[in-house]
Amino acid sequence: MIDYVAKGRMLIIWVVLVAAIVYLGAVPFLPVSSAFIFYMMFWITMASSFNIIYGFTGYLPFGYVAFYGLGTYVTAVFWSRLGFPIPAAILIAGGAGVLLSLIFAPTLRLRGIYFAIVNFSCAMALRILIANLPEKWAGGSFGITLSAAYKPRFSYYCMFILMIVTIFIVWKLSISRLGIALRCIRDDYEAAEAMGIDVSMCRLKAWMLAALIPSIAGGIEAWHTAIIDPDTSFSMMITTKSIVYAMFGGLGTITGPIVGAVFMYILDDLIWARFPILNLMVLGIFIVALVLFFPRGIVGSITRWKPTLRAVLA
Amino acid sequence: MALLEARGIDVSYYGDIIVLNDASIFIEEGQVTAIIGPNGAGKSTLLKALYGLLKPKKGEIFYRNENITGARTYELIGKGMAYIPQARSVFPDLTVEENLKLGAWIFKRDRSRVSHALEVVYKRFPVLASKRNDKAGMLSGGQQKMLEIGRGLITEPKVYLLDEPTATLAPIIAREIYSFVADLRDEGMTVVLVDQNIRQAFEMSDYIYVLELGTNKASGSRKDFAGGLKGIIQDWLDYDTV
Repeated sequence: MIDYVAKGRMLIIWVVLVAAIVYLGAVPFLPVSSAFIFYMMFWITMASSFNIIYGFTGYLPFGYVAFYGLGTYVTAVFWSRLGFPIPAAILIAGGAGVLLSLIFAPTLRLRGIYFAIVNFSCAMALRILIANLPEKWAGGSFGITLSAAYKPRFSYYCMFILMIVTIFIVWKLSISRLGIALRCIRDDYEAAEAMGIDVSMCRLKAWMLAALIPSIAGGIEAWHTAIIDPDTSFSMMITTKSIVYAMFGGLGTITGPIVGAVFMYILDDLIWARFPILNLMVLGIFIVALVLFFPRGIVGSITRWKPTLRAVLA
Repeated sequence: MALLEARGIDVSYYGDIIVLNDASIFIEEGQVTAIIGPNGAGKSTLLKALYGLLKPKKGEIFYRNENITGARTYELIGKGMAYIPQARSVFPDLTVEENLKLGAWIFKRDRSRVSHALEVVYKRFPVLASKRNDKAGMLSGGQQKMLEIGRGLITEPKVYLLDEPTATLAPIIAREIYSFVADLRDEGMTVVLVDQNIRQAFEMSDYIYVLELGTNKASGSRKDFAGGLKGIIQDWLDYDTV
């Protein structure tokens, strides 16, 4: 017997997906703020990529901003100082992020809070290093301006493509051997190792993947805002928001970070508009309430409440 | 010829906590070799070192005369080794069948090999076949242990390293597990058994190693130990009360 309910659900998902892609693709030509949508896609990308490392492996990289920050700087330096075209500079930024992840790789031996602390320290060290480089290289505390390269429509589409690629990677990962291995390692790495899973190699692959995406996202965002400086490129808010958005949606699921990023980004914006002075406090109260009432995130809570929806949501 | 052999290995945790100190073991093909000793003797550490989960600081390990010191676990599984850790190692959120398939990880995408191996395990453990779609966490303690044993057998190993297979199990279930081990022995499989239940381990095995504080204290065939076991255990008890 054909399961019409499941088929119907899949149809709805596909319609929503295609409609969302068509809408996002048309935004630069519509009378809506493309900067608003650009940042929504940026946060979906950041939260989804954060999900690769935290949701699939259990590592909490508190210095996640390091990859994004490095991405902004490598893009800006290669474009402004070395004369590379912006798309090439962004790709180089991705490579630099992977290189940085390899430099940080020995810290993967640490677990839990120790990993989080060391990773945070690494990010802070990188920030200080970049801020103290000679001004002619990295612009010092003034940063670097990219206004001559400013092409908001191009950078918008670059972010659009990166977001789709990131979601595709997370989906592919969730059904791949690597994804299965990573979840086993997260749940019981000794048992995983005993079954012949190459624990350190799997962790390293996830780590490199989770570094590549924010580095490219950083490069595209630098292009879009046309100005970077150490304070904004290495702001703790980048890490914090990636964590909160991904967790709020539901870690370890494909749709979780997307739902979380969209919902929280809009909520954040509404709170900014209504409470210009107390916005951070109100947002903080919201986050505490959400963690209390939806400890598994929105998608996590829905699939727990209705397990049959797991096939379409997770 | 020894199937598996460790020669004078030193193993330490965190660099300076020495657990094994010049330990040696010689495992004959087709026999059950028991490793016994008091708590902290390094029995589990020795199994982990043989299985490639820990790297010896000194000494060498051989499998069929091939030096496998420092070889990775997945390579050793490919050569015919299997291992069950002391702690519960099933993935509770995965089904019985998914757990078994994880045991066949090194087969990669060879589906026909995996499904054949699954059928072999189901034939040996019919209870697992009837619960193949149940979450492993829903099984009883004894069934979970069977799942672990079955998962190890899926790669058709030549040598099976069992670390305390009956710990935390009710005596009646433990007896069942021992009878599986006896079956494996009768089928000609080489088994290395670490057990706290000394009497049972003694009865099962052909050869016995006694470890104490990470070094070899005594070894011999079951016949060599006949009557002398009591003295060894008395030694440990005296040692513990010092």
